[in-house]
Amino acid sequence: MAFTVDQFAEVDVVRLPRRVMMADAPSIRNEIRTMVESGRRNIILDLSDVAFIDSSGLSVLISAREATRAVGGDVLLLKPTSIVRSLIELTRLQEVFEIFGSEEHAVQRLASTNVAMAVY
Amino acid sequence: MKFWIRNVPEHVPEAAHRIASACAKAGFDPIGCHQATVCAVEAINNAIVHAYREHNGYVAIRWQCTDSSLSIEVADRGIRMERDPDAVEPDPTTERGRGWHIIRAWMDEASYERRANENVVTMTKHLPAGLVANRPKTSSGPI
Repeated sequence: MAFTVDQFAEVDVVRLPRRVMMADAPSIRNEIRTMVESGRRNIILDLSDVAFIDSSGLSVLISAREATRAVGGDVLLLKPTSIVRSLIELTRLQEVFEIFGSEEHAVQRLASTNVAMAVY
Repeated sequence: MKFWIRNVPEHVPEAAHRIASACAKAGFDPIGCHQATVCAVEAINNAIVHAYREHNGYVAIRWQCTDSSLSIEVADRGIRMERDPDAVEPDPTTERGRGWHIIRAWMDEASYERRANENVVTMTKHLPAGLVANRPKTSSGPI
């Protein structure tokens, strides 16, 4: 496994590894797609352990977002370090992703979206 | 100083580690080291993906340090870049196309040229003034 996952009802928190580079991207991308295909469409990407990410790694974040949104879900980003955050902002990904500093709040955000969609 | 890696993604982390070490020896703080390393990795990734595509080859990484800057060259013998790197900021919703934007933002100088059958990307990062003043005197030239 390229990462570990913690499940909270309809929300999955994906703990990304320390390094997300071109060599790592395909396996991470594929595992997330497998999750989505199995019905797990609300995903939080935990970046707190990521010490190095390049544009290949950023493409994985975008890919995950596209996969989840295609089935009515979403991806949130959690606790990027300051150096990773600087790359996110340089590439304007903060315009695309909601970014949370609290796992609890991120889970609540996706869980409430899920409830709202279920009610609808 | 120079070394080569095969054009496979699995060898890029080793290159990143060596570049980061060179940046630290040059006197950059952790943020400067990280930025320069990411930029070098972006150039290496581009060489692997675009210059060589499915073919085997090597990527050369060369660097030179002066009292006030570090220059890194990433060179390959793959196909010539079809056009100059985009100056346009990439759409944040797209999966690809961020490499040159990152290099231009985090390095003080960046250029591409075709030189003697090589694609050469040259990136230079200047040491912040305070770090230059405080840097221990060492011999200039390659590290």
